[in-house]
Amino acid sequence: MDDRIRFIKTVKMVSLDDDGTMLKQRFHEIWYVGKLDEDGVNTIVDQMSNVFIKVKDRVRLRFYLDNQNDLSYIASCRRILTENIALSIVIEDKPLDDLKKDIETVKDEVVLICNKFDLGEINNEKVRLVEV
Amino acid sequence: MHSGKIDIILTTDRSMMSNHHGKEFLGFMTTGPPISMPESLWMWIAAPKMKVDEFGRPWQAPYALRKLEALLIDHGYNASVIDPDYVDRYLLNAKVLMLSHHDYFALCPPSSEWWVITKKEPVNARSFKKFMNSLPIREAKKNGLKIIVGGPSAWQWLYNIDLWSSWMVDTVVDGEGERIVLDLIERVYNGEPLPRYVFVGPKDVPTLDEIHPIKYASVNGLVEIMRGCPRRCKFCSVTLRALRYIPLEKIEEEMMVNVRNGVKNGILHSEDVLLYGARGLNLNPEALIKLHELARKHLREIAWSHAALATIKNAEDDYRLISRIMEIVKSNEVQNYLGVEVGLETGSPRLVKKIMPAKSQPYSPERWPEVVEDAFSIMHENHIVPAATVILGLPDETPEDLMLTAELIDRLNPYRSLIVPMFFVPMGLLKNKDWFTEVKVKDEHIEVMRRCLWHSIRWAEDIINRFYLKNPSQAPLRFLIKVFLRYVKWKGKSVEKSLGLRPTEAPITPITK
Repeated sequence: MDDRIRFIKTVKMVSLDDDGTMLKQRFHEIWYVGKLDEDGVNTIVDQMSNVFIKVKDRVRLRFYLDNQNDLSYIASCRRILTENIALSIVIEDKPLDDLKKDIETVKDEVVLICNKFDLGEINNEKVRLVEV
Repeated sequence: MHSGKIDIILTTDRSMMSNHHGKEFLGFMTTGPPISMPESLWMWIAAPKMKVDEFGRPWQAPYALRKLEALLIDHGYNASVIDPDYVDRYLLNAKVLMLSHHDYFALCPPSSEWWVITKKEPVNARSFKKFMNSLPIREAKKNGLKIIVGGPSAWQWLYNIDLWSSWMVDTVVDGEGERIVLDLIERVYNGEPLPRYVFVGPKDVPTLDEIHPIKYASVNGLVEIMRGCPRRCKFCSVTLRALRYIPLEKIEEEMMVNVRNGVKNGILHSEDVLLYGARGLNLNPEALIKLHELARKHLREIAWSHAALATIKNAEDDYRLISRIMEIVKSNEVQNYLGVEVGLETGSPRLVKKIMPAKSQPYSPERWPEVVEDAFSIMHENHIVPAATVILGLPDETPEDLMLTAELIDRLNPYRSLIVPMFFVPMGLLKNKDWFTEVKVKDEHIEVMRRCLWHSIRWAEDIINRFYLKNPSQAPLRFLIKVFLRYVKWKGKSVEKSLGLRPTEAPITPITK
């Protein structure tokens, strides 16, 4: 409770960067590939705690899925979402086939959480790999 | 609109798209299942249809939908709030369907509580599901329709992933929508993928300039006067948002929109109306007097959405503010009372200190029972009729806490009011589809609940006859509500008898004024 109050006190009402809408702002990027089990969720929570500690305000959680019609991953994230009060969070999913290209081309820093998935070699220093 | 096409449809189901016969409190009946009458009659009482224009646009609509409608229109989009009975006229050619709701799946109190007690799904959730199942979603999806849902109960979609999937909802937005909605719409128009879920954190809530005034009438003339709350009660999510006071000019502009559209009454919306213009918890009497003079100038009847009991006591003790405001309210000689929702929550100073220490400020948590009683007395003297909530099942709650709550309710008997118990439902339980069978109701809960029941029944007829439904034109509605109350009385007595409970001993000598 005290941490939450301290955080709220430091938030100022300011105009946004760019042209003033939320998705155009800077987000801390956390990508996830592989099995989304309890350990995987705990790893996401750890990474989000780091974001909070660095006083960033926004996190994009991106899940790479082999079936985008299966929304069960959102149920797995429920704990993260219902306990969060401080960060803006965006959750999106992309086809697994896009992962390789996205790793190669991303220009901003990304945390990539990998759980029981063979990624192969990562040749982009912007991508920080975290194994579950 | 002239082409008969709407690109962005904003809507909700009948339980929400209704002005409840011009009586906001009747809308609470949508949180329960139909009792003692058919569902169609229950819905007629609780959420009747309103008139619409030739395009199916409703006379009044939920305030949140009106805010987003205004934002989109001001940015040049072909957007409109449409009555649920007319949505299918436009859906197949629309780009976006936007939905909002107070309680999509009846998981909020008091819906969740009535579900626990009756084991029947409340009508708000039933109505929403019926509405969604009636829409030709699959067909509309083939034409590229995107579905975006939001509102204060957006979190409930996290517990209904199956429906999220089967209704092909694209995005769920939790939080104030002004800064995210334009982004999402832009993505739709550009053919870009949408996020699945967005939580709007404190940094992304809109500034006052980014909040657009409504263009068409809101349900029962509701207008917001501020956003946020400084009290920091642990059970409340609203308190986490930045505090913003809507300037009087903007409030007036919205009042005028409602009045021009034939909605002559108004509800001032805030988590605590008496904190309008305050510096922290230090009241601003001048701002409040100006606000009510403005409301009196334009509105026939004024209501408050919510007020804190500590603020009511503080306002009257230190500034005589309640008396002064009610002089203004009654000055048109049409209005003789003011309705408001208040949070009683508990009679236990220990629990107050633990979960809502700021709610009793400027008084100490130890004085909470006295604050409650004094505030009820002030309201009774001034013809303010509160509907008070009590929270049961809080974490760490003890039988002693519940007995203190029961005793406090007994002491409130002389004061005109309704007291409604709400069950605290841990979110973890909601994962189970039969969650309502797992909520444990203790004997001490029953003691509090039946005190609430008999207190409210005792005062309900007085409130209906003298204040709420006193006009001759409201006779049919008044009759039906009285039938319902008779049934509740009979049912309450038979349940008490079956549980072997004696009637409560509380004095039945209300102060008549």
